[in-house]
Amino acid sequence: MKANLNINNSQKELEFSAGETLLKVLRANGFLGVKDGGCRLGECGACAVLLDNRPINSCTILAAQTIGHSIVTIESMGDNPHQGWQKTKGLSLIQQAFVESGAIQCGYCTPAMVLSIKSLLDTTLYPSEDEIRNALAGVLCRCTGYVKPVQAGLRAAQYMRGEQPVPIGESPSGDIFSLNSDSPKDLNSSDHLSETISTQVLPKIQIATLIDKKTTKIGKPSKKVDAQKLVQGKPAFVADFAGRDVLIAKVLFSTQAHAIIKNIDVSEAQKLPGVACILTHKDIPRVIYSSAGQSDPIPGPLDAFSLDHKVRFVGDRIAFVAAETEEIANQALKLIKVDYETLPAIINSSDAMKEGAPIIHDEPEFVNFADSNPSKNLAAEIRIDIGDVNQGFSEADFIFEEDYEVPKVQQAHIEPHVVLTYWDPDDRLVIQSSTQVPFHARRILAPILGLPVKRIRVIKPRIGGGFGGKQEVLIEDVAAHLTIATGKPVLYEYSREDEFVSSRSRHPMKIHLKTGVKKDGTITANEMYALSDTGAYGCHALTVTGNTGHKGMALYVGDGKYRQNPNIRFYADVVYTNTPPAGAFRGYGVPQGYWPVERQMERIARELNLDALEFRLKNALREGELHPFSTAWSEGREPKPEYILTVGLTECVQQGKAAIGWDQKYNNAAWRQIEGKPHLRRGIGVALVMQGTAIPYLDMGAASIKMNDDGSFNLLVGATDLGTGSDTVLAQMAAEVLGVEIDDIIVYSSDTDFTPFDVGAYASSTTYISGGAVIRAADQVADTIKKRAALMMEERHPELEIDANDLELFDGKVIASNGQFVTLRDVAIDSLHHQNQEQIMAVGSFMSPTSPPPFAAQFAQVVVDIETGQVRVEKLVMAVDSGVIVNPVTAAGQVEGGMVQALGYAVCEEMVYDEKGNAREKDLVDYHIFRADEVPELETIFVQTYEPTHPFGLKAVAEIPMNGVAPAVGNAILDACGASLSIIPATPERVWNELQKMKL
Amino acid sequence: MIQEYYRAAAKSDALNKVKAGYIPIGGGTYLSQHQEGISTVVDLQDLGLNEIKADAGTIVIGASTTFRELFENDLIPVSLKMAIQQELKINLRNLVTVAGHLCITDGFSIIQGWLYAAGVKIHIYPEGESIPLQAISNPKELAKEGFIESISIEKNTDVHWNTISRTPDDISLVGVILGQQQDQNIRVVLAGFNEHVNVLSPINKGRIMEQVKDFLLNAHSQYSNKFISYNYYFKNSITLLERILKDNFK
Repeated sequence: MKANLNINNSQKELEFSAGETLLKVLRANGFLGVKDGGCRLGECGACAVLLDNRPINSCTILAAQTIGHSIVTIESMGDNPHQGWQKTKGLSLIQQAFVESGAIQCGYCTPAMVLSIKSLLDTTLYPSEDEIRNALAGVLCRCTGYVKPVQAGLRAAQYMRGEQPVPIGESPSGDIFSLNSDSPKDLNSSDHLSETISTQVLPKIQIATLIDKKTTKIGKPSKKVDAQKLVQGKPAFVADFAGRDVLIAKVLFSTQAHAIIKNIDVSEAQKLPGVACILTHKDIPRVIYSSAGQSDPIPGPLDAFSLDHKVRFVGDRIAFVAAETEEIANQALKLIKVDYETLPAIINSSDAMKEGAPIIHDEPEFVNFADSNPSKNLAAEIRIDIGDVNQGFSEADFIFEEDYEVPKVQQAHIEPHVVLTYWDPDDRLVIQSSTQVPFHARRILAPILGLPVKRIRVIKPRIGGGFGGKQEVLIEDVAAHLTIATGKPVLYEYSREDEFVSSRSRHPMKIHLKTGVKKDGTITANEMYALSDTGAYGCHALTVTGNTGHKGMALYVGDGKYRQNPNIRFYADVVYTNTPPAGAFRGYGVPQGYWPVERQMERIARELNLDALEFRLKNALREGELHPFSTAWSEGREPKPEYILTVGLTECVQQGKAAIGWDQKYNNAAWRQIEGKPHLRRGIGVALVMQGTAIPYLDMGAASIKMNDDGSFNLLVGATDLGTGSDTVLAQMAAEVLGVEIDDIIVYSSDTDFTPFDVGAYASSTTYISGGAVIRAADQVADTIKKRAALMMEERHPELEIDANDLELFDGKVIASNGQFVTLRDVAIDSLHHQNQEQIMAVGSFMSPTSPPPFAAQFAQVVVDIETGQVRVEKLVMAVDSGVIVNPVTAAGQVEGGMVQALGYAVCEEMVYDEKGNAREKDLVDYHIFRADEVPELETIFVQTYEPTHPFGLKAVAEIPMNGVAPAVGNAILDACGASLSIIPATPERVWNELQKMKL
Repeated sequence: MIQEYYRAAAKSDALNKVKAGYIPIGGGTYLSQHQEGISTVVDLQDLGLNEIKADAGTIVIGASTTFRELFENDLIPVSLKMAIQQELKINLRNLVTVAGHLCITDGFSIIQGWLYAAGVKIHIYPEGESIPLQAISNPKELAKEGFIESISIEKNTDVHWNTISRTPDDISLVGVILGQQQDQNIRVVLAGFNEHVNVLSPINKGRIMEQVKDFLLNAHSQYSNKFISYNYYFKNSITLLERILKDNFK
């Protein structure tokens, strides 16, 4: 049908079919700010537009229904204010507020959020925080924890009222970096002040004395370098680049958990008009690989094929289809007939190593890594002994032992997995992918596709969230095979259901923890056994589970003689089951470890009547000590000693205690009671945690910097900003060294043809590793600039002798100690056009021999319904030592978003399978992630230390927020009502079951 | 797959289409994504069926009224507004219509449970007669010879509800809704028990707990909540009911 749609106040005559959704029609007609979260149930809200000025999800309405109504998309909201001679209206005030507030991380849901706020502010310019949260509740965000989008809404309202909000980076007191001893509630005591404070996006920051305060860019809340395009909803994500002639790919997934494919009949499907190609295992080369996006050699078994004659989980691949439209591709899937020979399946990890268990990987091509053993369904086996654990137990006065369990959970990035493939004019295969690991993807894909690395180019545009889910070569091969088969461009996007049945997830584990303790609270030995379920394939099996011990068991070494010679044992079996594969997920095995460790620490403290925090700090790692695992295990490589040089844990505890009101609340029976609600109890809990910063002796990042005519610089990095703000902090580092403003650094990431190598975004490595590379490249460029500037100054003033080493780069100039200077533009013009012409540029690489751990104290306050077991979390506090904070706004965003993800792990997120391997959770209704109107109060505190192994003294921040929320919540539940959980999430029924046991 | 979309200009026009096999479409939140076996739809949005009116004893809500319109209307009881706020976030409230929601929701819906507990009546065009919602086993079936024109709620209906969920916005794992009308007719509705909300009526005011327990015991084989055990549901639905009774029906 042909019809006029009123889009952005303009009548557009569009052609669409009766059954097409508004989402599809808008995107097909260039309104690419409308994003597709793949849910198709109106749950994620990424596709929101305004219909008659009300936010609606464009995936849940037919385009035909909108005839006669007004449709507003993000494209109507504002433009970049700097468009040369063309005058533009600039960004809207709402967009401006989003940019300033740091409300944009990956940016995938940003257009929907901006429109939601617009709809609200069109009705009131004095919205309350609750009203803003309600307005945002229709849009799911997995990155931000909603703190900064809410602050952006408040800030936008201030702008629209004609007020001038306090500039970001300034506070009413004028002292943005000093810790305030008052609680936020105290600060918010007056309404007027509350409004002022609530638009302040900066967390509390404590500055360590060693930090060089002379920096002008490091430590400043710079706006994100990609914020302008993301807030305008410009084409930035993979699906935005698909042309109209692109073929749409779909995959036929197995309905059996474990089966041999006896026959596949695709004849009927192939006859369907519009079907371009169908591939089965008979059509493509049988190349074994691992989909884990890791460095060479991949530290895990090679056990997967693009397509195989055997399926190993419900959701495993059977056939690839490429067709002219999504509807035709889906119809073709239904016409493919599969004849299965069903095999016995393993759904429960406890059954995997039993005598007579079916063998999941019996393929002869299987390639072992380390101690994997497919005949025992073992993807990895880990045996780490530090000290003498048995001796340690014999010296203990008490032994504590308990079984714990943690679930399989989903990354649930709002942009699903998506890839676009095509041949370029030179017959090189271009793969545009939403990947965290473009260079690993190219290396891994080459043999699978029968192409040399040099004939593959991987481009990573913006990523709509990853959280480890995109540290995987998950779907790139599907589209690539189909492009090779058809010669045509192919787009493959996962739906939300595909994400749940056929993507990756966090490894579920069953853990036994045994701890020996002396009467005075000295830990004498710690022993953990983890049965880790890798699902049908062993991607990240060894390394994720190894980190459960490596970082989860490293914090508590014991005190006294045990401090130098801790007794720690970590054994793990990582088993195959016929369930969807696990993989990388933010935290990478460590959240699994801290659930048992911190629950056990709380039990010990309570049973031995020890102060919960002093007991922990007494046994925790301290500065100058050896990382206990560093000489015992290194992801299958030779371990080397690592000394921990900075530990801000004691200060984190102090600051976190003050923020949560620990001393007034912990173990306080009166505080636990809630007046008028006899069935409710309050509780408070804590967990101390650590993480790592990159993988030592392995992770390498590189960067190149090139000087332009105007004294600006192109910074090319292989690092992949998946919404974390890494491009911004890398630009801040380059700007700091080169003495320019952030917007003089033009960042591009990443493209295997143009940007230098980088392992990618994982292991909390980017700021530290890629940042180190940027600094090295910038140092070289700075040196070259200084040498040329010295010559230029001497030419201008022959009487002077200028030593290049005495020059400084600052404010776009090269400045001598006597005040003489040349501008960077002068240097650039001189070098490119005038004399001894050269391109000033450099490449820097960085690899670290250490992995300096960040540390944190995480606190939770909960209310438990002691009759039903329902838990509500009221407040989360995280005081974290991540070294020097490069950008306090983006770093706080990492902590806030991480805490909310971790809160889901604590109370509601889990993936469960029936006895046939069918998933219980297939959408974002059954698998609930937090919305804006239900998030508890969050507070972030940065306790800065100066990590000497990095030029700017920084450590990681991205993953550590995931580690302590669940045990802090578990400990708070214990404090509230005595229910001692060993399994998460803390669902009402689990808590209730524990409460029933107490009654017995 | 929908091949034809027709926007009716008058009720008679819509009725002709329904009789010809067209499926009435409300906000579109369901049919836009569940087109299997559906080739023609008739859109009722231009029929003026989004009015909320009240007379002496009842509130009449047009079938095409969105839940936003309900949420913002002063005639609508607060307890229904709270159910709407919990179950439908703003983007869905702006599209989902009352009649559409009645036809497609599952057994977890507190809104649906509220409407049953309130003893809502459905008015079908063209018959004009009012059918108690409770008398209809599957509201979708109503669309064969007509379409839902409106629903009505007795003004003084007293409905209270309580739920248990993993988070405030999560689906209600256990939902208990208790409604009492002016005629003292009491209904208890259980959400989360199986794929439909379960309506217990008539309920003897003196034997509410016993009747609900009897139902739960007798209907054990029909229990299908995939998130929680029958035992948990049994014990805690009773707890919620006790709280509702204690707080509201002393």
